[in-house]
Amino acid sequence: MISLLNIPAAVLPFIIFALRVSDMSLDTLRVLFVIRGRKPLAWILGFFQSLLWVIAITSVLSNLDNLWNIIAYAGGFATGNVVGMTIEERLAIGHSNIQIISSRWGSAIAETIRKKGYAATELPARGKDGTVSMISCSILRRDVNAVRQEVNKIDPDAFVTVEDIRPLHRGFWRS
Amino acid sequence: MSLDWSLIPAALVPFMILVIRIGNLSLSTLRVLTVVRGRKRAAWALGFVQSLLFVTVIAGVLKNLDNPWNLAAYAAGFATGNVLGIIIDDRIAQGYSLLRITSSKRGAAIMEALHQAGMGATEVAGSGRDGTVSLIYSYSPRRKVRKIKELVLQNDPQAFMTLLQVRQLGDGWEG
Repeated sequence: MISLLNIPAAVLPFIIFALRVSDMSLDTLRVLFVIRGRKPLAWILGFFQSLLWVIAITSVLSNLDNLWNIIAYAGGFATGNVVGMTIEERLAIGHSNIQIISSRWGSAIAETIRKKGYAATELPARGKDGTVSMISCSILRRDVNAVRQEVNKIDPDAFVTVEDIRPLHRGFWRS
Repeated sequence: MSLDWSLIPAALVPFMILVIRIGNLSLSTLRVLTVVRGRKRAAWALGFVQSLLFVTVIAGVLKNLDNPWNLAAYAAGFATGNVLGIIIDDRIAQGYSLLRITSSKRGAAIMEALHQAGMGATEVAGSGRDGTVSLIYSYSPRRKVRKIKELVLQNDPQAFMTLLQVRQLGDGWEG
């Protein structure tokens, strides 16, 4: 175990904060990987996260007389949480399904998406004011923004939603 | 300044632990749900308060481990808070969901009813065991899901409904 007894009291809050930021970033990543079913990554993150956590919690509990330690603990928790979310967004591991509903530009959108190398399935559908196109497009998560921009260029009024998916079988994925 | 547990009568400690732990875990559950939905600011605020409460409770339990009621209160608070968090999240019902309705005969009537209620809905033709069915997609605030469900069931008690968690793609993407 790392001994925190020899560390000057003024520095301790900063160390606690740093530990907590790291362990919560890992923890948040872990939760997001668990949801997506990535077992090995979840194990590794869980191991290091709880290691850091035990160190941070012991140092806070043995120094509860200092209010700054407690604030650093909570502040590090909250900040690490947000850092973890940001890292996960940057990594963008996994697949997404984009659903686009466009009243008039359906075939143009499908065409453009295909030209860019993604797969698109177009379905005729009916909306409030008549026939519309529904396009389903399954892509890597990191390509979501690129596809979204293409759609926006053709039909800014298109209705677009994204959901995270787990592919069961490879159809056509650009990768 | 942290809570001085030695000043509290031993009989009251389990109750205090229970109450704080319930508060702690409801916030924690809400936090995880905000993380999954990608709401960073809410995640930070919930994380800060939650972890502040946690440090206070854990100190109380660890210093009073001789009383089994404290342990029981800690665990019961955890379990109760967890469920309470889910209930609160259901009540607040922020964000949107995508409702997918499959109806064998009453598709047009359901579409009519949804549009009249001011909801967006898109109908796609599908084929089921006994012929043509309608697949209706409706994107709505989570708060209104229950109302929509009733509306659909009034028109077709046999309708099959699934709820999909979707994310919105940034501003200006609602049709």
